[in-house]
Amino acid sequence: MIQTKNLYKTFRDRKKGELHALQDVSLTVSAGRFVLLTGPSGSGKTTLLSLLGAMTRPTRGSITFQGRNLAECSDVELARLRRDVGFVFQNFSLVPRLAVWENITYPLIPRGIPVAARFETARRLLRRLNLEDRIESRPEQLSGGEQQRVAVARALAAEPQLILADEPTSNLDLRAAGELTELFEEIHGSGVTMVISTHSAAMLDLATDVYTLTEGKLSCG
Amino acid sequence: MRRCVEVAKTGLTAILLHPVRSGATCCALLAILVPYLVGMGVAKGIEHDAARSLEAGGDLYVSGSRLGQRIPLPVEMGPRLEVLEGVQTAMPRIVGRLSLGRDKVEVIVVGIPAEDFPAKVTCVEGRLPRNGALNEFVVGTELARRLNLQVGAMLPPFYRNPRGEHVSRIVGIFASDVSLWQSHLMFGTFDTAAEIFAAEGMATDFVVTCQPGYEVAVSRAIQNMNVEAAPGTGGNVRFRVTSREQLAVLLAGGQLHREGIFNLHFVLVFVIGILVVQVTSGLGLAERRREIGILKATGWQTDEILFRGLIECILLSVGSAALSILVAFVWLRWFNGYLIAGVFISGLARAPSIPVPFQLTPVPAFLAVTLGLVITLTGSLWSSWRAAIVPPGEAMR
Repeated sequence: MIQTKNLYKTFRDRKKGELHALQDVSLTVSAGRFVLLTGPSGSGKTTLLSLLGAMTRPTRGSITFQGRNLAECSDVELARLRRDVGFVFQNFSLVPRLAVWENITYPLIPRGIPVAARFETARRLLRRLNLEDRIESRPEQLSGGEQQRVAVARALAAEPQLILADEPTSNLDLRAAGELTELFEEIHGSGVTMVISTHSAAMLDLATDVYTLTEGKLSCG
Repeated sequence: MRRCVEVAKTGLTAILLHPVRSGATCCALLAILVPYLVGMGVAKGIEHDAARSLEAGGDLYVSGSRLGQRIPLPVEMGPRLEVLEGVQTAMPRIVGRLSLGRDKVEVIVVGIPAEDFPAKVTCVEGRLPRNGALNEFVVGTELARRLNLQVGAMLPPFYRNPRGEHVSRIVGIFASDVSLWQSHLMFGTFDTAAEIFAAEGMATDFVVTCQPGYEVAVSRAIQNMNVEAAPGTGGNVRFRVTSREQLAVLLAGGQLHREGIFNLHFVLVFVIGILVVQVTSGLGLAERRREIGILKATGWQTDEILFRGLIECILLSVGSAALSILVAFVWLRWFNGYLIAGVFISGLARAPSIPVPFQLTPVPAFLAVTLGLVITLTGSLWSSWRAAIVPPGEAMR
């Protein structure tokens, strides 16, 4: 489904000089897998997920998604590819003043889906996530766990085949983290490929593949 | 097409998402556009009044000058003007200024033969002054209100001539579609004006009406008239002839000069406005950048984000311009062009006591929308563009 070859990402900082976030990372994620990325903070997990999600370009190497090398795609092509990937951010990244259903369906707007259909999509997803009664709420009216479930609903709105999640449970309490883990299991069960970076041991049981990043270098297991 | 419509709708959402920023931008636009619209409204109103006044007048205005100074002309000159080929009538007129009442309200007294009162002057109360009855006046409705005059009111002696002091009587109150007439003019007969200004047998000028097509020939003939045509002026008199067209040009020129100064000041305000909108668009900029980052991360393209920003700017500027037009109308209609009318009508106080003429025409309204759009686009699209071109991860940071 998605493959990286000899991937490098280097950040340049005026004070610190060059920072090698990823070095020679080669990874293959087949369809239907549940891939966990682990590793200490600052090891490059977020950077790798950003690259897999077409949010930034590699310094060197290739990323192949749906048969296309992301490193060679234009900005417009990258934006279109992002529509086929669901991304769950560590800090939820919901738009504060938008209602829950609007947050979930905002990614559908550039596809020209009318408002009634978008609302129905949001209702369906929220019902699945047991949040239907919060459909008109604002993000600040929700708990952390609820906000993260809304973020997952947004990732699912466009019915992607690949979901990337960047430490989705790190800002949640144990109970909320457990609920989210169950949710990911359910989503994966419906045939969606998952790539999740996490420190959570609970997710290890779900994973089909586990990779560890250490100082930008990827290793299996 | 549906995609464009759906993205465009989010432009409105964006306005509501950032109420402080939208409100501040709207206020900045109002602060710029309202004074502009008020000024242009007054300018157009004065132009309109001036055009009406000219319509009511003659084809040529004949006055005398000696050594560059304007001097009165003898009434006997009238018949000599009327015999010129192409002249229909030559009406003597006396125009002078007076101050009336405790507040020294400035009044223009116009003395003309009773049979020549302009058709635009119609009495809403009382009647017009009659020939042979001295010291009868009609005043405009607004002047009557300011001086608290009714039909039959007596004006205490406000002038003195060798025959002593005289009481005058208001015999009528007139209405006119020229608001400056209503607020400033007092019509009397020619003899009454001559009595007031002690100018018996003299006229400040003659209003000449010509047969169609004769204006230029008559004007030339008057300028070539012999000095003896104006007996009693002491000789060395030059006749000055001003045509209706020349007067229109002079009036328009004066008006344009004031408009020009106003517009020049406005260019400065316009530049400041762009800076102000740039600052206001910076309100919540971090939140806005993050929001754009989220949109990009979820598959929005840069052009869609810019289109959303453009719609937001258009809606903000059109809304602000519409509100500006409304506020400008209130300012003109109920606040009488407070502060700004004085720029266009000399001698007017900050709070004009006369009804300031105004016209809100489509051109300044269209300009207001355009200016609003230019200001908001220049001020805010830049920040949207900067946020939209960076990778989503960076924008969300």
